[in-house]
Amino acid sequence: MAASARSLLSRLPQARTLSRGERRRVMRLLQPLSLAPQATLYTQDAQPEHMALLLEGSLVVTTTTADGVTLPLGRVLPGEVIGEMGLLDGAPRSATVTCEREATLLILDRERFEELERQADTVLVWLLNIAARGMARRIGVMSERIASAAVDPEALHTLPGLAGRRPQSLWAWLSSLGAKP
Amino acid sequence: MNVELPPLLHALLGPLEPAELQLLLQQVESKRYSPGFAVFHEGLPARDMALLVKGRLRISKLRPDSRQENLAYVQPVALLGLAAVVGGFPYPTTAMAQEPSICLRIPGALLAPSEDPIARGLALKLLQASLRGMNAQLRAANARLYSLAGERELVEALTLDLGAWSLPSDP
Repeated sequence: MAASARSLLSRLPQARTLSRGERRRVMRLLQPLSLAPQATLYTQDAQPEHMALLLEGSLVVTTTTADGVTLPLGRVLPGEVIGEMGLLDGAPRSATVTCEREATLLILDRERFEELERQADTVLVWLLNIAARGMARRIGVMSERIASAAVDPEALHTLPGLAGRRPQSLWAWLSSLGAKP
Repeated sequence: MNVELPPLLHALLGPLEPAELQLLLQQVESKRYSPGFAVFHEGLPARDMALLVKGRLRISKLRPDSRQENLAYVQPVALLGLAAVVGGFPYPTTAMAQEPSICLRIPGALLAPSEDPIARGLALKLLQASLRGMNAQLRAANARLYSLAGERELVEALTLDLGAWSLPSDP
């Protein structure tokens, strides 16, 4: 699997900024992991043990609210980093991550993360840059969607899964914000 | 300027090595803004973050009907423009001084990997602060979405395919 993971890594657009030597270091520092569909990578409230770079496949992030409702928070696609906040803050996992399509990942465990952090290692700076860009875009896209829905609720009908639906609670929610999403 | 910078930067970034602090102070630009002057404009490329250390800013957004809508008023200490700089998209809002204000302009380039270990250490601390700040924003947005829990399809539509955005333009 390591050979396959190395080849998948070299195909990621995010890895183009790495030299061949740096890619070899990534493969040395991170451990490959395969996940079958439905398998759990992270469990909400569990102690964080590692973070991951997804090389292929897809993952789904969900959270369960205090009243027991499970909500989707996002989908993770190849080239994205997940699980870094747990290692940064040491807090229990805020969400559950399960495999949607058969996945290959590279795992950076806590011990090595702390070692790379102490050394301000290039690989960790690279991984956290990927994580930060992913999070920034999620914020950007979600803000735009909520803002456009506040101005033109019909815009929501163009979103996947909402064609023809008129979710009244959203209209009420947006109104309550006074068009200030 | 009448603002003590090192404690502010330590509060933002955690403990900094003296060399990291020196590098940061060399790279950031302290700017004064009179009332009515913009710290950044909606739609312009986001090249640096603004750390408001004194004064008060109005955050507004241009609506499709050309109305400038106020979204918030911000007071020190606040880091603005974070997601846009990190994500590589234009500033989504305009930040304008409401009273005499001072901002530290922090170049986004400081987040990039570097061969210099001091610059790399600083980048790591800036990235960690950025991730914490953005995670708080994302949690706040998600918390608002929780109120829509009865409409699962709606929450899915707003959140599930966001990941696709991180693929095409990443270097």
